[in-house]
Amino acid sequence: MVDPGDYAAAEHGHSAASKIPGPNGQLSPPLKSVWLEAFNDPVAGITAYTPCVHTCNLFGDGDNRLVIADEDRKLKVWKGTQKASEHQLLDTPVAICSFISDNSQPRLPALAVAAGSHIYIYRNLRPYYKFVLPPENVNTEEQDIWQKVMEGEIVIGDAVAQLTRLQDAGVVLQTRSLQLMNIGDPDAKMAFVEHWQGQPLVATTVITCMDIVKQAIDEPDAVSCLVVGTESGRLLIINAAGTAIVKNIWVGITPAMIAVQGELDVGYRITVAGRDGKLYHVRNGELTQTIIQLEAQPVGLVRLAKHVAVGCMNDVIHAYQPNGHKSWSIYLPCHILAMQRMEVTSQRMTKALVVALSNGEVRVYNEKLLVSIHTVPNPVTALWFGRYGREDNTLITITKSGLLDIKMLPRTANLEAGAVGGGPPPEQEIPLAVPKKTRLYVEQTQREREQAADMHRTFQRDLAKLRLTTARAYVKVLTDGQGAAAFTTSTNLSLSLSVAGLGPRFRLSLLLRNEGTKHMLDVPVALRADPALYSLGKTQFVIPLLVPGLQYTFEVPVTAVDPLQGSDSVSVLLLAPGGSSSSAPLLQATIKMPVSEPEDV
Amino acid sequence: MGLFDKLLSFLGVSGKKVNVLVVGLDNSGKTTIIERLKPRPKQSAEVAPTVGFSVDELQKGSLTFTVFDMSGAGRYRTLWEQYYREADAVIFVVDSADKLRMVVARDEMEHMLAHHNLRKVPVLFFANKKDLAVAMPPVEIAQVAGEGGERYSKGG
Repeated sequence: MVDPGDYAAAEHGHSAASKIPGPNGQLSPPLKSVWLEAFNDPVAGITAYTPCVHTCNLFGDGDNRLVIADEDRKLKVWKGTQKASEHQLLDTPVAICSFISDNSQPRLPALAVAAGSHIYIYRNLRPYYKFVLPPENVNTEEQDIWQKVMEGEIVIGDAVAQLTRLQDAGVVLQTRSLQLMNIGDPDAKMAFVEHWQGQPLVATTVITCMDIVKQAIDEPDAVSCLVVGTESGRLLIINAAGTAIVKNIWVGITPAMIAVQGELDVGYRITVAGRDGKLYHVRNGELTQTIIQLEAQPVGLVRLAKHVAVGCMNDVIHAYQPNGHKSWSIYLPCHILAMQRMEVTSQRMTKALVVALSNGEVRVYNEKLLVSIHTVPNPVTALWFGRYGREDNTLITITKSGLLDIKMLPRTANLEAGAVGGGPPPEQEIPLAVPKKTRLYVEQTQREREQAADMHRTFQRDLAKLRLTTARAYVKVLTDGQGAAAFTTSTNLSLSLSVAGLGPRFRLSLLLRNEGTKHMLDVPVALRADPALYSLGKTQFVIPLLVPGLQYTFEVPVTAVDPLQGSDSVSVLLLAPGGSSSSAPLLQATIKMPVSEPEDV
Repeated sequence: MGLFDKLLSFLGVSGKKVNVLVVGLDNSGKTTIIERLKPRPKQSAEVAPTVGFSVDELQKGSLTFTVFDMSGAGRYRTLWEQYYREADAVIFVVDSADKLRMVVARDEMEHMLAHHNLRKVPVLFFANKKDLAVAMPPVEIAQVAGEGGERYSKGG
């Protein structure tokens, strides 16, 4: 028995830690996988691509089966963790779909397998009907040439020359003509013509892609019709019974992938990714003018809620709206191998995108934000998301080595963009508290409109006055000695004070600096403090010399007389040196003393 | 029946009303088990998928059981937590033959055991449908469940 735990051991349980560098190069928190590992069979032996994998309620018992149209021409049906049955297919399959033909109970879906130019319809896993694509129109001249050759009217060499002329004229020849032209040996040519004797030239075309469109209502078990893309550049819509063509839309180029949205009766839109690297839109049966040129060939087309996501060969996924505008782009580190639509049936109907990359990663994107990463050991060939068994939200992965991996999305999985880093910060969600528009506000705005010039003038005048007052006050501070800086014609000093110490004993440091160009001699300094609270080491002293540019430090010990009395401030005055005219102090600075600790006994 | 002797011994009480919550994934056999516990005349022949939940009253010995049979379908599983607070015992029914969804059953079990509303009540894990050929033996089921289960030390 394969233990899911072993397989997940490389990813430590059910969280695969994967570091992604953030926009600035730093590593964001590791991104976990949201999936639960349900089943893994490394030797399932399945070779199929995404269009050939499907799950549906084949037997009406609510237990959806996995139906795979394998490349070795077998239809494999899986139930639970085992292969239930295998049926032979007549041709290599291109795509598989299930559709409901009619409204009568029980609503069991019929399987449609597209192969070559036929669609094989199975009911109850038994062949029911083979739908043949209608032949295309053949060029009449080419048909004529073949007719004549087969009846022997013209020689084969002649016929080949005429066909070549036709081809040079720009006519697209049928495969039969091309084959005849390629054969070199005249005997082989003769044998070839004889082989096709009696069969008029018909242009058969093959199917390239297939999908379903709902007839009237968008329910999982509603009547639906097949939509088929052919090599000749057509889209065919077949009726619900699978017998006749309802609509034949000429697109012009071979459709590689199609995505269908809407219902036939109400209004539908088909997005076609063509082999020429362009996206075409068909609306209600008519080709619209909107043609989007992709920068690289498309490798995957997924229909999302409002737009279509197309993955290109240059490792980008673009999302386009029906009117042609691009909604967002996701740039991937390596090539895209498979893409699939994830419609999560839970409280919030999220339509997400799951992408398999060539480095083994399988990423889940919700809009353009990465939600989950997990790794697969081999390159992925097919991805399917839908109901399997009795559980909705199952991801089925098939890899190149034939490995079948089934993962389930837990009920409480959080696919919101904000769950992991990289989305917009949650602060962005808080609405700004814009105040309400009141009558007063409206009146004020009207006043502003009417008296704009006056208001501006008044404001500017007041601003100028304010500047003037400020400048005057500053000059006063500098010149009258009340501040810690002095700037007059003869002196330019600055003083700062600091206190060190905790206890009743402090040390007051005076940092004095002569900013001017002239030296000063004999500057007296006086200190003042409340004598009841503090006793100063020295209350006055004289500074003999103040050289311009140097920083002088003077220290005065201060003792708190009674530590419990509280704290007060000490002021320091620098007086004018002897011989100057005024007796006003040059500088004055005060410092508030900190609360002192009690005296240690 | 042996089942009821077991339940009585878990609960250790007698002569009172007990609330039992029966949970598990859909199609695991919850409603069928409860039908079988009823006296024979009251048993209904066919069981249909439960919608929402259904309440049954059973009398066994001196105990009166009020059984809340919850639906296991994905959209109804959020209802389970509404009933954790009043539950005196929980029966978790697992379909032994559904190997594909065993991991989903384990995920639901982990959420249930970690829920703050669930008191320390006995939990009985019922591995149903063991008569089917593809059924997993109880040892394997315990292994899958136990990978997350050791963290929780609630009784039962």
